[in-house]
Amino acid sequence: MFLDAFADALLLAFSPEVIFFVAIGIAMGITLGAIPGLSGDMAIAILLPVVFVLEPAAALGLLTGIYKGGMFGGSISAISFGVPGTPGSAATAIDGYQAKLNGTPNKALNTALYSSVIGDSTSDLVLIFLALPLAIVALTFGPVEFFALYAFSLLLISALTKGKVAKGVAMAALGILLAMIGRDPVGGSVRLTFGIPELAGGLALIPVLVGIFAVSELIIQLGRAWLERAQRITAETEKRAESLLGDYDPAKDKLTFAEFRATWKATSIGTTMGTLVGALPGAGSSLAAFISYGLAQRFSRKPDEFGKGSLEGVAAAEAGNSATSGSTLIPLFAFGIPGSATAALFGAAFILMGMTPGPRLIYDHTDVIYALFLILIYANLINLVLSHFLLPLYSKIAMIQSRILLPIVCVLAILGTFAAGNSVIDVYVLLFAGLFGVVLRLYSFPLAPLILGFIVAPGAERALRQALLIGRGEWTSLLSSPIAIGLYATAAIMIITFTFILRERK
Amino acid sequence: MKSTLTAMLSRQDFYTGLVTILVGVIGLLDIAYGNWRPGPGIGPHAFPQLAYIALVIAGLVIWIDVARGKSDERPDYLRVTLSTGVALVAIGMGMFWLAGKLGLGVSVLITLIGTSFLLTRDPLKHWQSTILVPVIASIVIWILFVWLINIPLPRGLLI
Amino acid sequence: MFLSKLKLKATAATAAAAMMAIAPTLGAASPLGSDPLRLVIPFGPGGGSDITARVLSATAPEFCGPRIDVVSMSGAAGLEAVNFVRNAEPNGHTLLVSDYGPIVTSGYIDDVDWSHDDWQPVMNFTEWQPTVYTRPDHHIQTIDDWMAYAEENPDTVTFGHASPLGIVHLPLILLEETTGIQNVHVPTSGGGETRSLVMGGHIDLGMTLPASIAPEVASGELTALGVFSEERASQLPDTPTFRESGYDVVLPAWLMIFATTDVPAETVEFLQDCFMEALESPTAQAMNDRVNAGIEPLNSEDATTLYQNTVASIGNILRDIGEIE
Repeated sequence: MFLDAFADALLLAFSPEVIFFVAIGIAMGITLGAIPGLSGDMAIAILLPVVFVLEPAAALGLLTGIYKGGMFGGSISAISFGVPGTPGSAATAIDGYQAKLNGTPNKALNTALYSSVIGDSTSDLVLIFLALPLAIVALTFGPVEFFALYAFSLLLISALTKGKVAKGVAMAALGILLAMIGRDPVGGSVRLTFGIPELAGGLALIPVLVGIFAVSELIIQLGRAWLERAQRITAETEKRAESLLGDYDPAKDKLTFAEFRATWKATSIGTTMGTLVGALPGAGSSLAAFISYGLAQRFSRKPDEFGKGSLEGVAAAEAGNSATSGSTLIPLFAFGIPGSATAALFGAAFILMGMTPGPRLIYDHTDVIYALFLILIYANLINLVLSHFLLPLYSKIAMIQSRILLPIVCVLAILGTFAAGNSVIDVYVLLFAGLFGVVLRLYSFPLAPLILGFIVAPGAERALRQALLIGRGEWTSLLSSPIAIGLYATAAIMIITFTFILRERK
Repeated sequence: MKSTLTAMLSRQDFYTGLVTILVGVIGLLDIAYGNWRPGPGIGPHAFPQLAYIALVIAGLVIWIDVARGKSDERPDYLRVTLSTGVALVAIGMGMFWLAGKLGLGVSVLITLIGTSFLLTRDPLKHWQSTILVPVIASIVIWILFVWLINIPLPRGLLI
Repeated sequence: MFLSKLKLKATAATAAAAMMAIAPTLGAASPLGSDPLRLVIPFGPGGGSDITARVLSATAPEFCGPRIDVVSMSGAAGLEAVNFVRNAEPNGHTLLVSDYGPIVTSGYIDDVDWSHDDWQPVMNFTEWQPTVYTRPDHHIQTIDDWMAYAEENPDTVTFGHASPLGIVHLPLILLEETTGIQNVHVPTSGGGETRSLVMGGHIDLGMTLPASIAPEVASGELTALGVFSEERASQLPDTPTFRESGYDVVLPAWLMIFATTDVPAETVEFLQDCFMEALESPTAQAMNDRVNAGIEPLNSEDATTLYQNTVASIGNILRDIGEIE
């Protein structure tokens, strides 16, 4: 029975049409993901009607391809321009862009690719073999446990601040405040909107993130390009202006095996955290990436290099966000609960094809689901091969002169952000967040804590208030769960140990 | 004593700390006296209040660091960068407004050519990068956003 | 055999992909011209409204002429979608697909520059029956269990609903107003979170729409207590209504297509006719069964009556709880 189904699934998954659609999907995903603001989710939403015209396996192949390609594509612009293409790749931008500035974009891109594929494949295997046990663990996460998780991730902020703890805390607080704008999720009253009715819905993640991280970076680079033009051009830069590429030497920029080997620890931390966080409904890939980044720095032999172009930083962040891609489907497969925007879209795709997400999915549609499992795995290989050919091209694009490239990237960021939510307000938020990000950068405020605060705050507030409502306002109810106590204890132990270790090193 | 104070006043981070504290204090005053509707449980103001308190504390710690002589440098190119930022916001909004009048393709083309001319010395000599590249980019962008994604912007007169 | 079928489908897909980009030519015969129609939904993609709207967008072009796009605008808690449709040219090409939240409730409680009279229903897709459910090993398994327990232990039963004053929260408020029981209201980020909290044992009860729990109820993984409608839900034939159990609380949610009132009457009539025709076609019927959307279309006139009744009843509830004057 199982073998029959598996043989059918093999035939389905490896039919030329399905492979073709997976490859098309990945190529589309990589390209769209590389455009700031556009993500795989948006492309999936637009292409959802293909389920009406394609066979289920081919349709799922196309959507899976877009999703996986988009996941990795975001890191291309994060590394190339310091402009995260998707929310998940914000953490990748921290070290990836520094690596590019050091003249090694190709090393960073390849590290991102390999760690992304490793994280993704592991997560897919967990989905296939461990979905049910992990889903049961995920269900034990209620408000009390979620609040502990969010508190734990906020504590990792100190890892993102690089010796500027005070400014980092200020930024995290600011991020929390930005996330509070709009309707109070519990009482329904409107707060902190400064009388602007359009803000009642709150600020969306993509414009804030792309604005703060990406547009601010673009403004600084544009300012530099303007200065270059305004000041007298020296003979050397004159010469550089004539060729499209700068003085970039691709030969010096190949990832060696030893360098790759050195990132394995970071990759495995990212893979583990990404898979676990991804399985929790509502936690999300950007949170997974930041947690992985923070932990990898804590456990790294060279924590000082983080933030200065560390390949370990790239590997941890990228493995962390990619490893959510398989496990985010776990609650969907196990209970029919969509745990993320992507899972909701896959759920909708299943429903539109007449398959109900949930535990019976695999029994009722064994061949299609096994085929999907096979596609999830081999799509990673296609991603690897396709990206291998595309990456040299992308690193060349990244080295094109800024005066030509920057305006195009800006236009793409604006249009991409608009398309992601079909919202004009998002565009204004994007532009003003960019301006705000510039001010923060100029006065040496670290941006990552702000984004982490912004990502964590809505969930943390909801979880805390839910926990207190359920626990009759007793604060002790926050310690009513062993998981929560475990998380608080781990955080405490980590802080204590690392303070001691850091002191000894000095 | 007086010399430490003047030394502090000359530091960049004295002012960043001041702004941080001010934002926190104003926020706390707003929560204390502003028009906040009470909600169930700890209410809608609890989390912002926590954030404001964190801001005040962080600002004070920044000041302590300043008193110890630790401060970040005054930013380079402050005016150029800020005016670029303001210009980008204006150009971005202008492009969006223009897209509703002339259509997305044309407004993107105008924006790209305009900015390339601003950023390039002797733009006509480098016509490949200041005219040809924007034309190609606009066509690609138009195909992607109008033809394939069909974003809900009002269609303009042209394409 | 299988492969050739797949190939055919693949060709169809390429054709469809091309169609997605270029409006089909048969639009010439339609009074709507060939510009695409937009069904704007004030929610994120992937939910029940999106899925239902897509059944129409996949079948109606044949009857209405131009192609139909489903556009999701969840910005400003859905108000951006409403404003987008309101500010669009009144030619019937931009329509809003919404439940009563963003139109009726928002029209009362939000600071908007339109009134309920500025909207006219083109047709109604379906009526959704808000359903109270729990896990099967919970001590509350029926409406009477709940009422008895809540009366003895007021303010102890924890009840998960999505956003405050939404379509799966107002029925609870109405029930409490009618019966005097009191529960602990736990807002969640949506149906998915409510369900994982119920299944994980963190809260006692939750409210959702039938389609999202029907399979689990049938297989015994969840228990549906009751529905807030006049008749039982077709997807949950064994679940009683609250009215049957002696609590006269009826507050179904609907999913309507709206146009602004400045769209000419003949355009609205044409849209109503071609949408209704499309939804009666065998393709649409098959699709409806497949996605379990429960589409039972109402024409513009009936939908308008339903809309006006809802405006009145939501207004009463909001006045009772002091949300509006």
